[in-house]
Amino acid sequence: MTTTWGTLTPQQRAVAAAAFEALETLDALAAAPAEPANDGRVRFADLRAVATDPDRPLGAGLARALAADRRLGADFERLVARRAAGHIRAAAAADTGRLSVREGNGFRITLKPSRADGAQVYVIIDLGPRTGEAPRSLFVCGGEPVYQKHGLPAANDGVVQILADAGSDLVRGLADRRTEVFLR
Amino acid sequence: MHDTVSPTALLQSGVSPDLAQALRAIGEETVDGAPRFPAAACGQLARLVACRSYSPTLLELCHLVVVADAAGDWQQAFWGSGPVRADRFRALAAAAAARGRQLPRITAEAHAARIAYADGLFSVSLPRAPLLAALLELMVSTIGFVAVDDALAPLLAAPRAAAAGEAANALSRALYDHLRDHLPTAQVQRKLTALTAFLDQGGGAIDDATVLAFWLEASANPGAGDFRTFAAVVRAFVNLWRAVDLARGRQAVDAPLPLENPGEVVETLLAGEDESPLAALAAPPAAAVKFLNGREIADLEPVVEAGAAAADLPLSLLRCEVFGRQQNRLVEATRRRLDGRAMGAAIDAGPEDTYAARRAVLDRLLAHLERVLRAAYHVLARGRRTGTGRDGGAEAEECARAFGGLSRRGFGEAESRDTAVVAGFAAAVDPLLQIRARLAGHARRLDGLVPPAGDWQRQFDADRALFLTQFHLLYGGNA
Repeated sequence: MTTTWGTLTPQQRAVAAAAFEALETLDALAAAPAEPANDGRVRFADLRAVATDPDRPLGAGLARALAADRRLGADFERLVARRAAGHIRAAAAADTGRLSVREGNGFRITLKPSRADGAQVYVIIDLGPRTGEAPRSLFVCGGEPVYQKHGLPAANDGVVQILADAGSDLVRGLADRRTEVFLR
Repeated sequence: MHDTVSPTALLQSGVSPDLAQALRAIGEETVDGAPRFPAAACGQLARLVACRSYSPTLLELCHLVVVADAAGDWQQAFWGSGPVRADRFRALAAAAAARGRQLPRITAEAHAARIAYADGLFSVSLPRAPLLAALLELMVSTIGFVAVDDALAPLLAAPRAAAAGEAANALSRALYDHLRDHLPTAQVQRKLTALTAFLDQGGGAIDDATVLAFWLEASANPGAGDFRTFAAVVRAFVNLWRAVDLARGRQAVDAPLPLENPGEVVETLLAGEDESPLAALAAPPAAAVKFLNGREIADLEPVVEAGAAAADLPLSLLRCEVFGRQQNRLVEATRRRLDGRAMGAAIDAGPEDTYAARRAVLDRLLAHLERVLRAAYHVLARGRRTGTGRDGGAEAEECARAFGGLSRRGFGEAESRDTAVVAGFAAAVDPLLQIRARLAGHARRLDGLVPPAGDWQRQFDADRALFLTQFHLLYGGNA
């Protein structure tokens, strides 16, 4: 028997219309040309792994993708902020001076020039009195580059110390009052 | 043009590349070398999106997040490790139950996690957990994690049944808003209107005569929609045929139809349809063996994908195979900006095949399907006979000869003993039988059909004149 549109009831037509829309959409989805495997798309699982796994570095490609996509960057910051051991907010925007001390919830970061080598700076992170596992990663968000992740060495008496170049991304990012800093 | 989105954001089909890629990425994502989501879950996810019937599934997802959160870290549960399978969530439900929290109280059953909130009960189907996880993946890749996290936060802070409903509603609204800009609603509705208006003018039958008459009228009318190619028109009528068939079938079993959300009805109906046998061959484990090459797939696809609609549209499918292919070459020629003389020559050269030649292609395909099926029986029966000392008689010898006559991936003597290849053969038998049945049915219908022009040669000559005239109208070319 020939299939006939004309004999459908209004109810059947409504279902048929929805079915037609679904079938056409499924066809269009299936026919969409595939992009190359390395199309720059960021998998959420990778984004989360970089935010939560201290052993996963923030690669240059992901850092560029985060800087270029505001929503992706916001997703990354949310993942980093969730269960962060410490957080330093951006300082008041009016003042553009560089900072040598940043303070967050129970910890403090001090940038102290090296006496031995003026081109280097000690990044001293005083974790303060805290229980639980010491943070292993430091994230700097909102500076230049927009996103940084640094591994932290083990703390000694609640203090983590890193010797860095004065012009390094880490030092510039921490001295920049616009940045937010997270410890995880 | 789409009402709300820049046309550059949409493919010609009306689906945005972003959405298509997001769904494709979910289907192709691997963990430890295995697909992260089962293929069935990815197919279901595409149907939920296409039918816009995701709201009930989002509600289930919110409840599953409550279960995962009660077991520890809900994000870890969804993105932590390994392929997403129901077993993982079964273990999570058991872990959540073992914690013994009073509200919500979670009970792990074999196939469900039951959640007793202060204000209601909900049961999450654990076999559906991979689909729910795939839906969550789509949510974070479309509306973003922040939006998902914001919607779930109140529910996780104070888990109640009502809060789950509110979270699901918020997610559903966000996805709806996103899809509004990424799905071809307006285009498809215009297409449907054009098709049904044409049908309403006549008797409403979806048959070969209607398809041809519609194409002749609509192909030269740019305002009618995407109907320039005969193949596009055939595809649209095949989809309309399937849609009408689904709607009629639904009423036969369950009248009257609930119309609050036809998409949910349609999603249920589509879920009941068999998977495309060609897609099954292209997916693991059958993909380990090359049963069909690209040319064979291209030859089979129109008939196999038309499914039952092929019964009402045999001549349209044949026309598509012959004149549709010529039109594809003409479309390509317009992209190369052929001059009028060359275009005229390309049109007047006519199609590569006559109807008789295409009918012979069907026989060759049927013979090939018979060979690969026999080869599959050989591989599978050989595995069963090993060690029994039995041979399989004349039939087995014939299957062995068929196997030996094929030299494609998976058909080598040594490689065909590989476990993955044997699994490929086993998984391919049903799809191959389905393909053969559809193709044989189509061949039978063509053989039993008396074409309107009287015989196949006259029909080809008549159609050739008609199609070539229309091609000149569409693409110019000096006749």
